[in-house]
Amino acid sequence: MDIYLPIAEMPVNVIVLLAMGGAVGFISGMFGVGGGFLLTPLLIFSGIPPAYAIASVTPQIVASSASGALSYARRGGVDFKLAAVLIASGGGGAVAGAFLFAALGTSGQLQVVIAICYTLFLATIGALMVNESVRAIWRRRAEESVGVTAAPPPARRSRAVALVSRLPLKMRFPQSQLYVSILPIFGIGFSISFLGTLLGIGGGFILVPALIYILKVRSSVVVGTSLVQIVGVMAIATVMHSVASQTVDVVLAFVLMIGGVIGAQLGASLGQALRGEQMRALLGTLVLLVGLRFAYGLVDPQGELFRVMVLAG
Amino acid sequence: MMRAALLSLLLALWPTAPSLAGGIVFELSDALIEVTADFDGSDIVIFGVIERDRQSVARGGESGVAVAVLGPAQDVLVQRRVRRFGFWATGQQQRFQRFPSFVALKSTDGLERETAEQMLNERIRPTRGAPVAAEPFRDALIAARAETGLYNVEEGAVTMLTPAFFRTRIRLPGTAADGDYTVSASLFSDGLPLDVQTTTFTVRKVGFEQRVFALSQDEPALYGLLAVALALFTGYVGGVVFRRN
Repeated sequence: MDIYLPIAEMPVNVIVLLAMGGAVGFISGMFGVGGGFLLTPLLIFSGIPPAYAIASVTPQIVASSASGALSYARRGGVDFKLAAVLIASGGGGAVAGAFLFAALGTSGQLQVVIAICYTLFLATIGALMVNESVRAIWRRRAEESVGVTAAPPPARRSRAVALVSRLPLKMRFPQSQLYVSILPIFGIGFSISFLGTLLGIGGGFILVPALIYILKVRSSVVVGTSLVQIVGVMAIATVMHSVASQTVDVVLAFVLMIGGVIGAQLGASLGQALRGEQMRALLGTLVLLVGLRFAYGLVDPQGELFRVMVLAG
Repeated sequence: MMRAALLSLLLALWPTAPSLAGGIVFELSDALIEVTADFDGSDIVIFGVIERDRQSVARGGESGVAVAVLGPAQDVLVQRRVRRFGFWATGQQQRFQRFPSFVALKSTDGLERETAEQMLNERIRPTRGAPVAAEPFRDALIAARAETGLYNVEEGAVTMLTPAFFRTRIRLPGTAADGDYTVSASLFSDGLPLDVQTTTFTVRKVGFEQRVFALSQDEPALYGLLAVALALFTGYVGGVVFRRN
């Protein structure tokens, strides 16, 4: 059963799209992430041109993060002041990302930049996540076999964290019990939104650790605040992509949303059965695999000798 | 005197009937192809007639009928990929301005390919003044297009139903671009076109698809805001419907 995408100008199988949206939604519900980093590559590998895939996943991320953000907000799990500062700084990143995206599209360099960015970014983050979670799992195993709780590893105050505490322009965030310079908040918000807009990912899987480890945000508000920031920034990115490159396909986005919303509910119930570090290990493996898939495309000996693309306009 | 002038005026205004002017005449099954939500391509049937005293020449190696369909022009970039230290990098690139988004060339059995391809050469050359080195880029572009049904050269696909009556079918894939397509039918004799007739058909989005596309082009900011509103609404409804309490 095919449906015609009016902006991407091609027919696609709606069942396949719903299945992809549902599968990614399931994973995102299970791990509490947006899933853009999986959905965008899936669309690209299934033959949708990268420009339309990336731009159309941005509103899908808005939809999949909105219901989560809402339920956290109801329970008071959102620091709205912090989210507002993150969105304000992320807005700049989204604008810059969308215009770079459009410029790469018209000059025909988008595909190669996307492949390299996904490879570097996902492989690095995935490897870090796997490393951290596997260590945590081993530590727990060791503790259980010895029968006593070993002392937690000494909290290292890394140089970056020490630097953050010395920066000027401090601002108070009562709900997170934070008194911190707005410069690192601005840096985190801007860079993650810039990359997220360029690559079609919400960036929750980097934002959450950044809020925890760099800003020391209270864990009870981390996920909710991150979701609100993703809704805000991806909404800005959707409008900016529409303006800068006219590549947001609302029909594609809507089909993905439907699949995603349903899948997320199923995934969320399964996710509660898993331990934190097991989830992080699984998620990290998934991120790493997507990164490696892009890496393979960069070295594939059977690769095409030519790349053909229609330039916009 | 008066009568002679009237006669010549009449003759001048007389629609140039193809059977008089010579050669070939044809008609399309559709002049407008509408793109709707279930669009996944379309077939166009072309029927035509060769004038009687030309029929004898429409035989043999360099004689016959060829039909060419060319889609709306696009700017296309072809990049050569080169391996550096085991990685694929982008090498030289060649831009093709106003390259037809769709090419189909159908000919009668036995018409030599070079003869039929005369109908394409004007439009599918690389950008004017491009060096000869553009050839491999053009070949790569054509190969990529052929894979998706957007470039289709087929000998023997024009069927002579009678010595005078021919028919062929053009398959437009679902990815065919919007716009005006030109259809030319040519009668060749000894490698030279005796007569060429040209007409057009249009591929156009209609209804919802057309309105969505027009909004995205004319009011991109509003389009983006509506997409966000749809996303927030869908997320909210999804959250409410599936809320587990």
